[in-house]
Amino acid sequence: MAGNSFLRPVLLAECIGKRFGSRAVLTAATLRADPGSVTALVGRNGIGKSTLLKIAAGWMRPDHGTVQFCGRVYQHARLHSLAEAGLFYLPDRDLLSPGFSVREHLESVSRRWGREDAAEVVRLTGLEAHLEQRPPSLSQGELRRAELAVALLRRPGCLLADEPYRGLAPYDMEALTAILRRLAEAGCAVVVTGHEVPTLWEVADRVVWCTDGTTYDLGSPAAAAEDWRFRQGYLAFTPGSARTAPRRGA
Amino acid sequence: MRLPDRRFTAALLRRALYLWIGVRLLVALAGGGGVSDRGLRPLTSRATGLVVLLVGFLSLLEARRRNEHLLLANLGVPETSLAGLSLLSAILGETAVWLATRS
Repeated sequence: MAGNSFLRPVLLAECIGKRFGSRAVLTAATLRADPGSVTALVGRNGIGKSTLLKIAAGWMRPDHGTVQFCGRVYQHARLHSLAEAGLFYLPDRDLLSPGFSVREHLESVSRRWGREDAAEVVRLTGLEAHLEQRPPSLSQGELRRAELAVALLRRPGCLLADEPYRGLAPYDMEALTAILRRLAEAGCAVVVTGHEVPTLWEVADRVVWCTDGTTYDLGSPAAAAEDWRFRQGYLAFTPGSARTAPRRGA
Repeated sequence: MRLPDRRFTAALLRRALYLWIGVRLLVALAGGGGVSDRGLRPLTSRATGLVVLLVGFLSLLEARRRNEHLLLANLGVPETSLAGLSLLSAILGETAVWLATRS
């Protein structure tokens, strides 16, 4: 099912354009998220990945283009409306309020969405020892797991995570990968951005390359690693290089 | 319009109340309103409106600084709800002052 283009996407941001002053960051970018699949959105720094994700999440207005979520087309998508319909946006900066403990955040989400499986989510994210701590006292990895716990408790139909692996230790990366895969297996459409190629190749079913204001769907990680334009333009691999991108399932 | 969870609502109202008290004290120090030997001195309606707007603005800024606008948007709460709650404490405070100075 992963990466099956015949599936109806949960999220489809089409023909997105965004300009900051005189600089056109995106001109005709498209992002789709399919149920049960993890999509890795990759590209060089400042190329517009985060901007595209913010627009798809309704957190930023595009200059042109539309966002379609769960079959409904939004001319001016807003995050709170998309969140009501099942989207969760994990930004590249802190999400949780420093004024509340992890437990208080989880209780608020449980009450809001009527979830009763908080204990299971806490176990899955390994947060048992950190429930009474507030975000400023958590490590980067614990904080990311706490944010994911909030997202898991929401049980979103679509999760957009901006650079979730940034600054994480290998142990936390592995835990995060397991959580993202579990979400996808439960039918969630997951989109992640980042530069941690080996990890992204491990978690992703599909790779989308953001470059020159647009996006290219490169297919599976193995197919993406074979694309010479992508290799030269992003991976910076030269023919005959000893380095090779890891291939999921290879 | 959806309101935040009661925990966030209470925190927003409490924070806005502290900000209102702070702004009112600053206004009193600057010679406007405050308490004299003849009791509470009222502000003009224009100044009262400015105090309410300033408290609402500062409270919203503080909610943004704490990432609460993004977290709550993920829970389906629009930022207009936060703005409304930010204004509420100041409006209630000014109403209390107005009632006290009227008598």
